[in-house]
Amino acid sequence: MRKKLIVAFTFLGGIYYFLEFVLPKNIAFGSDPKNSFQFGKYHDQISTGFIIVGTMAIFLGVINILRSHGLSIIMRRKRWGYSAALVAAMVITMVGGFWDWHNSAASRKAAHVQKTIIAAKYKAAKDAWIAGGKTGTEPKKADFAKLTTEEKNMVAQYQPTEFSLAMGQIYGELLMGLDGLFTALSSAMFSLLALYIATAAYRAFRIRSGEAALMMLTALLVMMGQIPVGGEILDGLLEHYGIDCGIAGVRGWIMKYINAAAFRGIAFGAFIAMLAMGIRVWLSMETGSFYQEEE
Amino acid sequence: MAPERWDFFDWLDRVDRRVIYGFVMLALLVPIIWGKALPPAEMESAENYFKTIDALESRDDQIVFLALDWGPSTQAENGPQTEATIEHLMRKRVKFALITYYYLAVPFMKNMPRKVAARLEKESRAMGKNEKWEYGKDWVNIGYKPSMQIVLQQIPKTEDIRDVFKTDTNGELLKNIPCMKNISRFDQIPLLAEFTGLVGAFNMWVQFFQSEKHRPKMVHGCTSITIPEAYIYLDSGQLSGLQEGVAGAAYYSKLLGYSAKNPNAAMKNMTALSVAHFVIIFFIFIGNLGMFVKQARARNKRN
Repeated sequence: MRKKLIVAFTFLGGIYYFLEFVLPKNIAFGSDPKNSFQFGKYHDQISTGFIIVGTMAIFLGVINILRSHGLSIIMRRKRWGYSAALVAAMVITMVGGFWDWHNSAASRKAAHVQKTIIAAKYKAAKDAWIAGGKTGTEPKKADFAKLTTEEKNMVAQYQPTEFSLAMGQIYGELLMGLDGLFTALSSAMFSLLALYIATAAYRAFRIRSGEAALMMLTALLVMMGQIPVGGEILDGLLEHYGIDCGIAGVRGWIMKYINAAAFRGIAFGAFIAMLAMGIRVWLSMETGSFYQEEE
Repeated sequence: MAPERWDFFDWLDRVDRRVIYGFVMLALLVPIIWGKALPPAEMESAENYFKTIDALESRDDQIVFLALDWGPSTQAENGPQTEATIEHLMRKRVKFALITYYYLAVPFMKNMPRKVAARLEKESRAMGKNEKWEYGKDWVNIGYKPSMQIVLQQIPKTEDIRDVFKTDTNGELLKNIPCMKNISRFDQIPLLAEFTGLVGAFNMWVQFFQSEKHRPKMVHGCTSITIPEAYIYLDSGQLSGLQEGVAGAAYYSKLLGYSAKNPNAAMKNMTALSVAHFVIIFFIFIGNLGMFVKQARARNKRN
């Protein structure tokens, strides 16, 4: 029964978006244009619903992490310390993220209350000015921007407290800020690729055959074409052999004609494979943990 | 057993990777610390990118979309590209909106325009002009939007694009933000500039960021890994310009007015990368030399 429900919902979800894309915006019945049916009339609401359902998947991830790593910690399995570090990092990020969200919401609420107070005072003054026959200077909104102490206290009720600001900074500044831990760690991890590429190029670019030689020559031409002094080194040599466009032009030609043609073929293959995979998932033809019968 | 004699050519064929790591690190660090830059190589794709943005007009009824789909991992390449584009748009007083579907871009979306605006204001003061660039008037940060594949499909179909996004990242209604006040229709977006290092990310924009009646011009800033993927769109005309990694950003910066004597981060990074390129070429050369000599010796021994 569970499998049938999953298959049915998957199919319905897929068929809706497919039909919404292919059908015309207004499907007319008869000659009266007002008598038409809009298949995608509630598209915005349905899409928002799908986004919300997708977001709920986060909880599945959290539950899965707590289950697998939590058990590791409780049972003191091998390397349980790493599991403890992961769970602690997750909890700190969630708590900090919650406070960051709370601070944003509280600040927006306080700003809204302040605007409402100013707008109400301005409206009252304007109505009074109109009722008084528009005598005197017309009140301006900017005149009411300064709040009284009582009004400031009213706004301050909604503003985030110092504690919540400090907690929010764990997430906003320490972890996810521009100079935060996560930003620095991500940059460091990715920058290791520079070293791996260097050793991989040293090991892989060996002239063992004609094809390997051609590949290496092409790689060298492309590399020289994009570095500052490449032109100064090779343009003279290329001109000697009748190639006037310079190494930058040679690189451009390789990228535009040879590389683009090859990659276009790869991209077509990949897109067709994605299409086939999409249809298989839509029709629940893919085997996986959701589709296998539990024995 | 007699100890094996150390052979130079054998060593060339099997250089310890730690030696390579050391040389590459030095090759990258020294130019960056030194701070000098070399004039960047010419790139036709970056030149087309510059011309596309330069052809834009400063109008109240148009806004350019900048999709910053990158994070700290590709900051070294996408960061200078984005910064140069934002500077170009700000200099021309073309309004722009920032958006992303990659959450890690959020801190960069908040800080980058402010950093560029502060630099331009300082430059303006030095020239005695006192120009200002303000959030809300010159740019808006729509922020992170989850499930962008669904959101993107809604944009061209909606009556008012502000209803799709509703608020900016500060919670302010887009209809109340000065630069978005006169923007409602999709055809008021003349250009999309997308920056990413994620494979397949740009495809989504190309597919869905268009309607039956209007297709904005598209320019793209990619990392070196995704250049081959981006080139097929450049060749087909779906892209009007392309910044090919940091090399593209460096040449674009040159077209913006930076030079070897007055370099920006893109040009300095490209100089460091160029030195690293030479180091890699050197190691490839010595690796092949070692391999050839070993092969020749083995042939001689057989003969």
